Amino acid sequence: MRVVDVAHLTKIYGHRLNRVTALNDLSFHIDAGEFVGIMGPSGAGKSTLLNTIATIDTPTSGEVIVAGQSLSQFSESESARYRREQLGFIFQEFNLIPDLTVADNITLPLTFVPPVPDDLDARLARFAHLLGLESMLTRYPEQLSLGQRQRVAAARAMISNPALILADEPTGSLDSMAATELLQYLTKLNLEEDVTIMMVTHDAFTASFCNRIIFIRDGSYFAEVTRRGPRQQFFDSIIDMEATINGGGKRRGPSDTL
Amino acid sequence: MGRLIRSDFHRYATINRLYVAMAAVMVALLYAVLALIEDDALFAAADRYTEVSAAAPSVLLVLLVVALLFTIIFLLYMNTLLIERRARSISVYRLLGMPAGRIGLTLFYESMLLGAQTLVIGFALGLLLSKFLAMMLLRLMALPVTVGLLWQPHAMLELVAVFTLVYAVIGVINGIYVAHIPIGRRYQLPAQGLPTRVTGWRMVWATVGWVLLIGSYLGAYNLVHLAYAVSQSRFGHGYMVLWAVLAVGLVGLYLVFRYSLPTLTSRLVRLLFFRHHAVRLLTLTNLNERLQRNVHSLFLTTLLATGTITVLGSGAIFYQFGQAGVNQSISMDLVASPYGLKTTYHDLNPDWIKQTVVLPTKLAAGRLHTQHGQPGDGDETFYNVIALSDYQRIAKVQKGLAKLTLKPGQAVMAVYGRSLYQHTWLNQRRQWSITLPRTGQKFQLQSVSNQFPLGVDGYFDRALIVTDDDYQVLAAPRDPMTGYQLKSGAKVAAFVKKASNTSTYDFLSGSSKALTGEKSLQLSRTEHAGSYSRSALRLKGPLLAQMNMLFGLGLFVVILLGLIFMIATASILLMKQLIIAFQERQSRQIIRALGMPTRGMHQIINWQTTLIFGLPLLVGTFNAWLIIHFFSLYLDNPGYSLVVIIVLIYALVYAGFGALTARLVRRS
Ligand SMILES: Nc1ncnc2c1ncn2[C@@H]1O[C@H](COP(=O)(O)OP(=O)(O)OP(=O)(O)O)[C@@H](O)[C@H]1O
Ligand SMILES: [Mg+2]
Repeated sequence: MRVVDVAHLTKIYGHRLNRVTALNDLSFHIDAGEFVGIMGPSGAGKSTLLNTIATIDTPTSGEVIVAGQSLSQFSESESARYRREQLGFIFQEFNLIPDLTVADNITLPLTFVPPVPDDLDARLARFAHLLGLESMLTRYPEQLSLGQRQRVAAARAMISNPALILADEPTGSLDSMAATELLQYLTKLNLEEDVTIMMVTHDAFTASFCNRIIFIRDGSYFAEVTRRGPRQQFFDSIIDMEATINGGGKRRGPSDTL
Repeated sequence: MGRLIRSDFHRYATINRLYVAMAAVMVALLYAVLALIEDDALFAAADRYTEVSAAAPSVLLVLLVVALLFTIIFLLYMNTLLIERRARSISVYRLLGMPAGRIGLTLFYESMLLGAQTLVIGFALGLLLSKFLAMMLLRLMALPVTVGLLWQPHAMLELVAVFTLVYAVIGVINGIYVAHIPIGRRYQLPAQGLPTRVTGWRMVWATVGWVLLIGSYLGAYNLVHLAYAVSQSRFGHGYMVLWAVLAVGLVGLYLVFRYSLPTLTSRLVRLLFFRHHAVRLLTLTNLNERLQRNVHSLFLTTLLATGTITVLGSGAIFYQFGQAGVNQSISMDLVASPYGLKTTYHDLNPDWIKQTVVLPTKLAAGRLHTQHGQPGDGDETFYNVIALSDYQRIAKVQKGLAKLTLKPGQAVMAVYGRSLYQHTWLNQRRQWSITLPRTGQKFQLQSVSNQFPLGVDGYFDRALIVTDDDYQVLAAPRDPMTGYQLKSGAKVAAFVKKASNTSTYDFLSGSSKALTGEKSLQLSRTEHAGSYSRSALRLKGPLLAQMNMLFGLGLFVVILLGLIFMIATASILLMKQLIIAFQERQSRQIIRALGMPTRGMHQIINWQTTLIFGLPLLVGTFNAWLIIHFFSLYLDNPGYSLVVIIVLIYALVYAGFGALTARLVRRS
């Protein structure tokens, strides 16, 4: 069953004189239960893609269909509902609310619109256990390490039992230990809870936890690699593809190198 | 390089525009007042009336100085708010190697530029306002003079000089501030940090805060009696209580803001009522954060709101006092004793009289018995005794005179300034009585009033209303009063003017023998040591004009001050909210991205704004009410209607500022 269907997606930022084509006629699809990585050079349009699927951005043209619903048909309140109930979003910067305790941060999305689910506390306990956060529920985000914060963000994305989790460089600010830990949790979730995951990453090691990697460049579909054998082999083929994408084709303008 | 700063300027365009707008309104008010002062023609035209209008320019000058000082302090405070929010980007510029001098100079120019904009807009607005304000002043003072726009280049020049200096100083302060922003280290935003933990000490302070605040509120409510008790106890003077209540109240209020409310909110956050409802939770955490990190601006605005409402409310109550006072003093156009009548007999044409009322009274010395040791116990003074039926007859034509029912042996005492005799928690009035020693009559006091038939000016001291039968048997000298309602017209006005220039008095010997009833009372036309006196011929017209002018001027001063205070209060809150909204933009984006519906987002912003604006308003209104309540007692309850109207208008305009803030935050 297809969970995400991206068809001829184009996103252009800016006005007449100062236009940036972030996504350019991009098409692909993702099936239920997949753990898909999105890779590509900086500025390729990965974040834009995720934001469009999350209805945080609206496409200039083309369409995104999630679980059979076309996102462009959504009204403001329908898309808020979609984000709340069907999506889990893990941001690169964690994006926790500093004034709320860890527990309140995790349960926040469930309290946006009444009624609150009856099993709220049970769910909180389950995900706190799953992500090893039980001992820090009454702390505030600033009292946590970066890895712990990212786990809180992950718990928050999972607590509404979404069918689809979007993660934008979730391991970007973690060291390899913390990153591996988080990726193991995600994999566990993917396998045990049957959640579909889409994860943007720069890092081949992180990407090797996925089943399939979609490469995009200059906002267009470039290639994809699917995992068939052991992880090491998958890792090697990702490295190869990265070399191809950075080596061949057009060179990027100097303004993007910083 | 200046472009970097200019881009900042651009980013905060809304805030800068608001800053200019608010300051411009203040400049406009200052200009209008200064133009009023410098308009010689205006007050020359009014000069013929009384000394009050002659004193008006100097009163306005005091107002101007106060308003100017306040405006300057306001601008300085505003500037610190505005510069703080830019400290972060400035520290980045400095980190990147921009010389502090350059930034300082740019900030100086920027300050001067904002100042120039403010003055231009302010003067344009001030010119329009000047006519409006002048008309309001003349109307309140009941002076029949017309005015146009007040164009006073001189006043403008003076203000330009003052404000150039003010903005230059602000620019220099900003320059110095820039030079002291730490570079190299990452600049910490003050808004970040952990919510404070509720520790034992905080709980202690929180409790102390409540106790002090509630204690001072109780003290303020019973201030008159508390002050009296202290002044009787030889421990100190009554006014010390006033200062003590004020000081304790201030400290209590500060502690409540600093400790009690944050403790309360951090407790509330744990309730499921909040935890399971994101709108409530985020509203409360925002308030909590405000209380913990920016309490000074909330405390300050609460004091400002208190001050504003107090100033407005007391102005209103004094105005009302002036109006009511005239009626209380003389209820008809002309009230005279027999001697007074004799002096005008030849001048007063019977055709001018619309209505005549005669009030027979008898003069008697009396002694008051209250509880032992209570105020008023054992007072000996003179009473004009009035029969109930005469009283009721006058009550039909005199507004404010309450209808009475009395049984034989009962009486109602009318006394001027009855605050000490009033019924309060500390002072229960039971079993009060009055004896008239000369006839041995004793009356149970049914109530104490402050309204005298035909007005208090006709009495030597107090009035006593008794039943007709009790009045009949009282053997005492008669002292009838006659009241006239006059027609209007030039001849009548000439008569009133002439009559008001004559001063004739009735005297009553106040010797101890007279007061204890050993000697009979005798009215005389000559004064002796200790005599009680009253004017034999009293006119309402001149008194009313005098009162109007005095309290009208007062009300004008108060409304202007109130306006300036309110603009300051509202702009501090508005700016602070906007700046915080900029800082919390990310939090709002997260919440939106997590699926909070737009309606919920708006609810959060509306609630936050309502709480932040509502807290100072509510607390301020309550504080001010206590103070005004005290004035009202002191002034013998002239009535609250004008106070309520003025405070409502204030609250409405203030709510308008709140709505504007919510709107701007939603858009940011
Ligand atoms: N709000 C915006 N306005 C204008 N241009 C934008 C905006 N957001 C992104 N862009 C541009 O769109 C292009 C794609 O940006 P995007 O953030 O999607 O890249 P990315 O693949 O996520 O890069 P990175 O790996 O560096 O995060 C970039 O050229 C970027 O400059
Ligand atoms: Mg990105």
